[in-house]
Amino acid sequence: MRYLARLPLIFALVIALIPVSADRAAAGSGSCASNPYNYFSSACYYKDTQYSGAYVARSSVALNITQTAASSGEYISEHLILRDRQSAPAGTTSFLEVGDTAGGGQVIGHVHEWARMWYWAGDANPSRTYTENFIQYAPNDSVLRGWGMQWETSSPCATNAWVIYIAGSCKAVISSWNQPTNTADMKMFTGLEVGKGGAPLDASENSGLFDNQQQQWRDLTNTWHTWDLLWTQVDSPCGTAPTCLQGWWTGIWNNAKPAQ
Amino acid sequence: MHARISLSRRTLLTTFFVLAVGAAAGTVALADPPGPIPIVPRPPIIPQVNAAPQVPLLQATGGPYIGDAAALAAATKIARGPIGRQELRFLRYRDWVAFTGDRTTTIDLDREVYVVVTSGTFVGRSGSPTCASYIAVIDASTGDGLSVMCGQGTWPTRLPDAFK
Repeated sequence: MRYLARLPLIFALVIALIPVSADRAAAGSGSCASNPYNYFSSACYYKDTQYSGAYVARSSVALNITQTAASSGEYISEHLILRDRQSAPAGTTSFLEVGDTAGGGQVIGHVHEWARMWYWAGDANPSRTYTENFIQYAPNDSVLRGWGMQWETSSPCATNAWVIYIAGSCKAVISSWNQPTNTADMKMFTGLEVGKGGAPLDASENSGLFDNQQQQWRDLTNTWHTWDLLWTQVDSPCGTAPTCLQGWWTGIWNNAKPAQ
Repeated sequence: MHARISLSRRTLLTTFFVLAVGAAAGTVALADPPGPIPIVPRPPIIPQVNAAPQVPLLQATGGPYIGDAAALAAATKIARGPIGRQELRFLRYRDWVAFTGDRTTTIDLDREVYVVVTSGTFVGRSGSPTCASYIAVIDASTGDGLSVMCGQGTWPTRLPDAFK
């Protein structure tokens, strides 16, 4: 009976400790600090050094951008990136990215276009084989979709290649990127990207509701794992406004933050 | 009985105090913009492994085609600034796939394309390199760009076989 009476106290102690432990976990050890990207409001996952897949599940909620902003090259996009810090040549990186962007930005064939679309980009060998590709226009229908990338040894879509898939179908097959066992030090990034390279950001011109339901990674045995907060960093490379808009990973995200 | 009630009151008071401290700690964390916000864990969704092949949205057309001049103009639009030398070839998308090893599956392998090589500056999305040359894949039927690849130097050192 005495233990029962103390249950609320134990519960309260646990609740009170949550913000403290979560902050400590999210701060991490700085392993994502080498992220080279700008204007991201993203989260980075850095457990392990080799991944065979990355996955997110999100509702296709509104990504808003004005016609004027899109026409000048602004965009807002949800991205998912696997990035490898290569051992050779030393210090170089490569990456594979898939995203859903509102405002074409520099997407090939849709530069500065006011529309929502899927794209993929990659750099198998920095400054030499960087590539950008339009996939197809994207809906804005609040439907939950899983999308990501994974290494396939044998599947209906590909053999010994990376596959980008969206909502259950393969959208791209990439053979130019290293197989997972040949990567050196991979990280997974996901979140919102707002703006264009070097341009001022304005929360009145591009904003988004970010309904992120799930983010997972796949290890070398092809087992999927949900992100563990112990290995997650949120916004670590962004700093504070005005150098970067901040994202709030509380289920719904909105960048109604001070304009730069 | 009286002692038990006192114990419960003490417990409740302590509970209230701890909850208040906890809530205050949470408020401070949320009110501090630079502070990281934890991701709220939700029930996992199984990733869609073994996804089905995509039915290509762009099939071969058999023509009419936009022509060389329009293809060159479409590729020129990609450049950031003035361009220099340009060369193009009329190919099938499968030729580009054979060259890069990569394929966007919304495009049928038989789709007709112009592959245009341009000496000029190309900069992609955030985090992309600045390239002094690029290779663009232009849809031969619509003039839309389908893919672009950064070149190495002012002219790509590696090109599809059709350029040899």
